[in-house]
Amino acid sequence: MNILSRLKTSKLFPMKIFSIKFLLFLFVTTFYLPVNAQPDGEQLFKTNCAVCHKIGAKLVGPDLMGVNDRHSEEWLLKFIKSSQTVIKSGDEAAVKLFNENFKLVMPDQPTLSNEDIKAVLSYIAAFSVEQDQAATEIQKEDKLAGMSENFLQEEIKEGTRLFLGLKSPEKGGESCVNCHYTTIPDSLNWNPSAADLSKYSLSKTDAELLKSINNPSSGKLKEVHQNYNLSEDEFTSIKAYLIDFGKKGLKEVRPLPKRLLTFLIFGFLIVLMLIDLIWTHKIKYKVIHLAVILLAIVFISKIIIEEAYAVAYATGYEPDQPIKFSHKVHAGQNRIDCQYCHSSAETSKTAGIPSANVCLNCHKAVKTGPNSGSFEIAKIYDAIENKKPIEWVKVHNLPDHVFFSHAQHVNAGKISCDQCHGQVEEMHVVKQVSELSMGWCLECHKNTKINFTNNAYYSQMFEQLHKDLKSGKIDSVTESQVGGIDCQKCHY
Amino acid sequence: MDNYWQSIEEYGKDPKELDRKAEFTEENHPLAEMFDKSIINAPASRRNFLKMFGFSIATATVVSSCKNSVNKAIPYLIKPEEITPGKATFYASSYMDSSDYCSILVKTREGRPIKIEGNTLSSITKGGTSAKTQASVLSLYDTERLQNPIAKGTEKSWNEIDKDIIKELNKISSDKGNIVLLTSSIYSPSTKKVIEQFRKKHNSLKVVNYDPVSASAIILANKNTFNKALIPSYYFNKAAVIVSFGADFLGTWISPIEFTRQYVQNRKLTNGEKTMSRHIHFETGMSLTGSNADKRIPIKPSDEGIILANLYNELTKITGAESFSTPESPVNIKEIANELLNNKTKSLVVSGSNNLSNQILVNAINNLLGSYGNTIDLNTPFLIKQAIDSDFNSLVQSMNEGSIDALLIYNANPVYNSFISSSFITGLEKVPLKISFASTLDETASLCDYVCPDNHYLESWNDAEPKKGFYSLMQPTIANLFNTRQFQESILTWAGNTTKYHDFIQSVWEAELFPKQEMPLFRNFWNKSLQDGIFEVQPVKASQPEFIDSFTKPAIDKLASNQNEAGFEISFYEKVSIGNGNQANNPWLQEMPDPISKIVWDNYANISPKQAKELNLKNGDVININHTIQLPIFIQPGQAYQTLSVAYGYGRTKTGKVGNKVGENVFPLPTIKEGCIQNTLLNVAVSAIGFNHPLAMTQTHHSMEGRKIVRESTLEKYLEDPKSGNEYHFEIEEESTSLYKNHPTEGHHWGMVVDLNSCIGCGNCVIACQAENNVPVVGKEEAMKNREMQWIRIDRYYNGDPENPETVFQPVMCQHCDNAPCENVCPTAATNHSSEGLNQMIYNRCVGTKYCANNCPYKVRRFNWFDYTNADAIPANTHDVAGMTVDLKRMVLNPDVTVRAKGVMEKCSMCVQRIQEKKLDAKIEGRPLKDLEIQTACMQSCPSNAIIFGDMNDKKSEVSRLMHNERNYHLLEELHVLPSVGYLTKIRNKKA
Repeated sequence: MNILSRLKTSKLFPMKIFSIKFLLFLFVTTFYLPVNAQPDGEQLFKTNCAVCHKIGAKLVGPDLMGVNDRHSEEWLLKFIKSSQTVIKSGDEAAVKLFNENFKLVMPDQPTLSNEDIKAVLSYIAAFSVEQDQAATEIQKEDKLAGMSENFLQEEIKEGTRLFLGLKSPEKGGESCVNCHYTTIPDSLNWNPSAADLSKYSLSKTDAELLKSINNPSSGKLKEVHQNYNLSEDEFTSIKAYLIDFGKKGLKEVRPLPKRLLTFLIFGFLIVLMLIDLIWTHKIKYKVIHLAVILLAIVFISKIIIEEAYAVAYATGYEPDQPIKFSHKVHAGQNRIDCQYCHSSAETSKTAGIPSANVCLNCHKAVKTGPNSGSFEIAKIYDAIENKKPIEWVKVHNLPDHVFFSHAQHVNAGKISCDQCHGQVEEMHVVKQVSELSMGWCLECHKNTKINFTNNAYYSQMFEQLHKDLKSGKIDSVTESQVGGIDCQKCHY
Repeated sequence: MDNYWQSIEEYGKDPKELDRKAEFTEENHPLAEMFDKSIINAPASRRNFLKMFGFSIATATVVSSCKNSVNKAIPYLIKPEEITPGKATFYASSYMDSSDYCSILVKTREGRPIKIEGNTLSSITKGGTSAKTQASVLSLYDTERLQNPIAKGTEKSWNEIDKDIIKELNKISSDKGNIVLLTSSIYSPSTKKVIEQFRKKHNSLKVVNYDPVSASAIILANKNTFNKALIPSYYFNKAAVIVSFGADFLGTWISPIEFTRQYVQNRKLTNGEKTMSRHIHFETGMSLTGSNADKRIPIKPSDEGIILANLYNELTKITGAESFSTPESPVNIKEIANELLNNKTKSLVVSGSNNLSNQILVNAINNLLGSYGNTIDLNTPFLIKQAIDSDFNSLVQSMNEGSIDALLIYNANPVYNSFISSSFITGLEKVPLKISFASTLDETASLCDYVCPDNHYLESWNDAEPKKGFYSLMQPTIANLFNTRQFQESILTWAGNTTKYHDFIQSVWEAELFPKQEMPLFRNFWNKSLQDGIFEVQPVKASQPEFIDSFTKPAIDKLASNQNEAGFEISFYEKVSIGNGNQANNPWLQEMPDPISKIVWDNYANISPKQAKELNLKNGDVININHTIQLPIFIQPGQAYQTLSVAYGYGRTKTGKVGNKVGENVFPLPTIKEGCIQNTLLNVAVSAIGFNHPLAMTQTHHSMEGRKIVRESTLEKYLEDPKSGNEYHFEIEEESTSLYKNHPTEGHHWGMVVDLNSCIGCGNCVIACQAENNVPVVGKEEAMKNREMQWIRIDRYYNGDPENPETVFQPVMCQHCDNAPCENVCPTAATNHSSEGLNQMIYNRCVGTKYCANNCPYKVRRFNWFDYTNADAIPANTHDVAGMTVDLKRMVLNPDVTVRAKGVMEKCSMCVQRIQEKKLDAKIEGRPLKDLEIQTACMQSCPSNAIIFGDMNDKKSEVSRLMHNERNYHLLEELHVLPSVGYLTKIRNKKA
């Protein structure tokens, strides 16, 4: 047997990209809000301002980080109460701001008192300081990672018990493993895995981590984590476990090999019967021996034949991906066209896995998802930040000696994506539904009617077919009639 | 029927008696090499059979129960706009390797260059390429390239090295020292400006041009006779009579790609032409050009001058100008003189000699014939070779005197290829600062203090002006693979100029070329030039400079006094593949069969059959030349008696794994005379040393057993009857009948026609095919066992007297027979027929029985005896002589063509990947395929347009038209295998 290989076309060259650090800021802001900010200010900010403003990033309105330094308090008070009045008065800074923000009118805030606004402003000021600190903390990452080596074995053990639910946290809350899985394949669990958490915990300070467990600031996390109140000790143990876990990685769980067991049991039966037949003679009627042996042989053969047929076929292949990307959300619920992301399907042989910058087209603005919150989406920013392309797992694999062109099928043949890929818009995780075997290809090539009369490509050849079509002898032309089952259509 | 023969062993023998080496024999079996013969020959016992059987079953079970591997799909982080994975992107650029120039398109896939195509927009190369150009893409991925700059033997960063060099240069300049830049001829306008910049800072800079095989004599002769030191343009297409004295203008002389296009232009007869140019060739060894000549006259190198002088006299006799006394000519040139004069203003005389007197005489003759202004143009000179050999000589002298303080060496390797390399080396030791820009640690660079590796040309920005007024651009097609820097940027940095070279070129073009055209915006002009790859200024009609007659007499007098003695003479030449040895580390070029000798991986001393008989030598016997150099001999029909000819470019010692110690270096042998290296050596002592060095020859293995394979006729007969020489074809056609049912005439039916009249046998297609189709390199040992893998070969046949035979070239690729004999015998149906007339080879079905190859009448099927390119990653299967299993070199592989593993058969597929690609384009656009839209790799790059591919079912296609030409025939058509490849008979312009 010749195993032939083609040079891997997926070998890509690292591209220089400009750094977009601010994305990390965004990511941080969605998760952590300061502990010691004025409660008034925070609450007021969230109810009145957060719809349009963020601290550390531009949303609809401008970024509020450092707004206290840019404008005087007096000016801010006036502007926040009624921005249009200030603008119409001809204030230079206000007009400039208005123009820079596409002349979007900021609604007046008549309900807010001067004290309220001051509280908000001091919240913003405090938040900004906090942010700066957070940024410097991140730079200490290496130091932290070094620290993590020093956990005691007991701590790790205790953490394991806590995480895996062998011991409940003192002050209530479910065990972590209920949501944060430790094994693969997981049956699509939207929450970050223990490995993800491990990686994440290395990049944060203990205070931040503890806060994100016990008192998350917003979003879904706040909802599901509301019952948690881990003690310092419990936290340290769990962190110890996570760091330790990070070194090992996710465990792969193999499903019980039922077929192999059946196979062995039947084999064992045969041997048993033979032993009895030849030596022990416990069973009187030889018909029973014969019947059992025959039955066993039938089952064994069935397994062998079926397994042999399945060799090298990967129907049902559904691997975990590095990002919990859901086609159901994107293609199903949001009705994004397949070719928006897989844009080269019309022009090239490969449909193309979208590059991270394509993700950013939407995810520049969409920072949280319905299922996984912001954790998974943040991986895109992380990839761009660290200049590390995302290593997706290829689902539909054709052998290297097969040339398959998407352009041929999608563009020239006008075949819809689902004909081979199935109802992707209903799959969270993409699964291979077709056999992708040569027989499967040929089946389609033999039966598919082609656009023979309307494509001018065929206009000057196949005179006989044209005649037959006209005279009504045939009503359509299939791919196989125009050379669609030649070997070198696909193998060269 | 002429009696053709392929090698001297075959001449005059009955083909049936010949002991031919077969490719597939027991002795040749790889197992036979591994095991004792007794194992193979021993009868298989029952036990052994059971053992093998059990082992096979167990292996199959284990292998097939392996899990499917997990493949990753890694997209770009940020996808560059111009790249679509799976689609090729083409960039127009220029190939420049010292004096080799070609305007090209670079095919890149996912950002890596994989193939070079000719640029049809260039009016110099017109879409043609040469083998060296085609192979240059592999040199990009050469593992021997330097990865970092080197200072005194250790790798350094550019910053460190710049600091040191600038300091040293400044010190030399402030001490009023001498700085010399030794470079191959620079014909890039921007590079010249860069050097100017450098000179502003270091005014003592002197530039010395150095071409290992120079055209000094032509330049000096023109300086004498026209007061213009240049190489003029030649127009072979305007010449009805071409007389060449050793100028291999189709192979290696000045601008071979351009000259091939011109030459073939009026030798084609496919459009009802009634005339052909007549080509008469004097030469010592058999060259590519000489083998294409209508009349070829072997001469000793020392006789060339005398013949030229006699020709001059003969012409003056007729025209009435003054003639001078000369020694008698060894050949009769009366007839030639008449022919030339009958075609006054439509004739051209050229000489490849580097002898000043000879070139002055050539100029005088051309002047008598009125060639200037017609077939020669002094106003649009070539700029690719500018070196005068004596300049280098005086440089070496100054170096030895210790008067050179800094030597910068760019694109030159004089330690290897100079005739005075030993004194260059001693001189080099006396130079305090030596900087090399070589991209590998070659012979010269390894003796330098600093090596600042230059980029490969596919990584560089540059411009070129190979011919006055014909500009072209070079652009990078891949980011620097290693930490290298362009020569120009290094120079700019040291000159204190921080401009990027790209911006620098733009500024030069804006200042100098932008005003020469009409586009209003520079940006548009630049973008168009970059997209086209070229910018050409229409030459202004100007009168030719006046001929100065006073040098003719002294030249003839000198010749007369140089009356030489009898004895061996050597003429040195460049091979079409290896040239001056710059790309010696390129395995494709090393394994490209020499167009004439068909020898791979070697150089050798060609000797005439008569001489060999006298000296009792056979092929491969090593001789001692002047007691300095040992070379194997090769008996070359057509070699002049009492001469040897030896190729330059071999015997590299520091080029890398592939090229080191291949052949012998003969660069040190020639002598210099009147400022020009002679490329000849007279009075040579030759003695056999009784040792045989076997040569790997690819052709004796492919005999056609004396059948009517090549058909030819003369122009005279052809004009009488276009069918002449091809009568057999019509006989066969008449008798043609078949038991098989006819092949379908629906859809496409691909076919190819090769015009033997146009094919000059240069071998460009062999390398183009190799690059396109991932054809492996096998090495000399395997080539000697007839296991070379090239899908297209050029058969060369001789006809007539072995001392001066006529030659025919015939490219042979898979003939894609409609009744293919290979298809019937394949037990696994791995080779079968497509509905479009292609003979398909399905590698995955092939189990390697080799039945097909044995049943193929054309011997075009090639078998993978080993895994040469790491196709299956089983280490024991690989056989890697050329480093082609290294990941870096594998980057050159075409991702659209399967890399074949050990044990499968392969052959020409008519570039089915290209067919499929263009068909798809047409289908998507909803239009019929255009004729000539699909171009196979061999056809695309053919400099002589000899190969035409197309749809035979399309009645209007070029290939259908040629298939119905009276000259068209098929190889072995009597077998009725119905090949899809046709050949057009060769027509010679000779008197019957």
